[in-house]
Amino acid sequence: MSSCRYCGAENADDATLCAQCGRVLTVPPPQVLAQIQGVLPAEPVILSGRLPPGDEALWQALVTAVAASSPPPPSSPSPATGGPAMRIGLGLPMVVVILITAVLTAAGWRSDLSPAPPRPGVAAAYHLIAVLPSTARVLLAWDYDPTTQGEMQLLAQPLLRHLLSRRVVLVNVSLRPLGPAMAAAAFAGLETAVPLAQAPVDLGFLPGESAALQALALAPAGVAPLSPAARDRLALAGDEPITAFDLIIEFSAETATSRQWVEQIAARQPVPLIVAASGAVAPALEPYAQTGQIVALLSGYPDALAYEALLGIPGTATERQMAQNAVHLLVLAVVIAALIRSLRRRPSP
Amino acid sequence: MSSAVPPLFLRRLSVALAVWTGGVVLLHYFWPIGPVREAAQPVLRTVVLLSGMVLVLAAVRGVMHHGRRWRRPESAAFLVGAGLSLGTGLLPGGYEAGPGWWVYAWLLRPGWAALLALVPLFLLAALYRRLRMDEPAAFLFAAGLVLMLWAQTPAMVATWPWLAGLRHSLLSWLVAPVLRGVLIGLSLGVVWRLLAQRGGHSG
Repeated sequence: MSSCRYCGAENADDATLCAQCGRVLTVPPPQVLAQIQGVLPAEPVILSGRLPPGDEALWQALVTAVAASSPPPPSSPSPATGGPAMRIGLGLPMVVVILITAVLTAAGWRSDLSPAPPRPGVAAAYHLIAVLPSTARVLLAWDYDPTTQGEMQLLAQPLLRHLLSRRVVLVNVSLRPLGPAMAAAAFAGLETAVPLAQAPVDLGFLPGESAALQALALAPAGVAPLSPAARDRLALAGDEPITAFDLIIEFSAETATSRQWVEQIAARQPVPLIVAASGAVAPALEPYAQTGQIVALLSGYPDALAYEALLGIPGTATERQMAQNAVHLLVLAVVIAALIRSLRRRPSP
Repeated sequence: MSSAVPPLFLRRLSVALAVWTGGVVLLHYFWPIGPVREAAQPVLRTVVLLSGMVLVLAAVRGVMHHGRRWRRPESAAFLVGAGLSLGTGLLPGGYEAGPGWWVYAWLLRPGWAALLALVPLFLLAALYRRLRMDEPAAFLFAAGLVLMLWAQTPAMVATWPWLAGLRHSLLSWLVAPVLRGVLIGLSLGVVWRLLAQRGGHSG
């Protein structure tokens, strides 16, 4: 029997709620990193069973607990509203500038205009691949899902074309369950079929996240069963570490997986890491690129287009320029409409 | 004693295993040398296998949970989807050829892609309904959005190449320092709160 610390009533050993007052009997001690709001997910107290209907004391206890854990309401409304002056002074010029720029662009744009100079990350990735010898091994990490495949495949394919032209040994691996399918789709989407002699070696999906990456770093050939042909092509001893690779390229649509690659591999191994990230993820990885842990960071559709321009082989990204222009202009039109609507709106109280 | 509590020797065994595994992996992280490396290799391989087993167990648990309530439409849909995925995935070629490829290409991929494709529509709808230009934050938000949109529109960048440089500068000089500050601040905040918590409990 255990006694309730609130009302003193005796309860069975395995009871989680007091039969007398309905309060929680056993509260687990606070764990490391718990209760830091917004940093880590909350650790709820899991109660066995459901609250019986009609028991007011239990419901009251639940309401009290929820109210106690809620953040207090703000003491005063948000300050600093600029009012009509700001709307006319900033909003109106903004609409005018956007409209003038859009008109000038539409008037001056021709499809034969040369592309913009590539960002330093794109040029660095291009040169890293361009100097690879034909005996080089390149590890490709496919860390995205079908959700972002539309964007990521555009970015992956120019890199694949370049790697295939260098005739290097390609090895696929993924920390995502659908990663191997993403790799297959990216190779299948190339204009020309991949020669059998250059078919990538598949290490498949590796569960275990950071621990899996550590295992991969220790012995890449040992983390997945390989066919004899794949083993011959890879030509790696069972206990040879990841330094046997000349380059690692991660295709990432998630900050967490890229951070794991940086922490477990790039920060500890001398193998250069290129990250081709989705537009939403790349800004979060920029600090790692600035410190050199990511040697080259490519980001989204613009860098795919720039890479194709560097390669000199127009691919899917080049073909979709008109579609990209149309969608961006559509979004711009909605922004202009929202701005105009905002200018006509009454000031917020 | 409640029957849910495991025997003492099992608890001690699990603690000993956790300490051994954590110790070996931590040592290997800082000193990846011969004997430590030899010890860490089997440990890490076992972790990979265990992680795979955890995923399988999670899937079995999900199927059991929804199997008990299979009359509900959402549970029935889950069971059908799981069965279809498993069945086609086990066929020769997996998801890369044959029926598995068909399921992936015509069901999984469009379904998942549609989910993300809805996000910009939601954002634009929210922008249209909620944007109020009488607040400085709203102006900065709208200006940032328009700048990034311009800097990624192929026609704009081809007409004005400096926009590509602007995108790079925004990422390098504005976004990266802010995110680095967030990361450092977050780490310091976690450490501070931990120390404060420990102090509070001991006192």
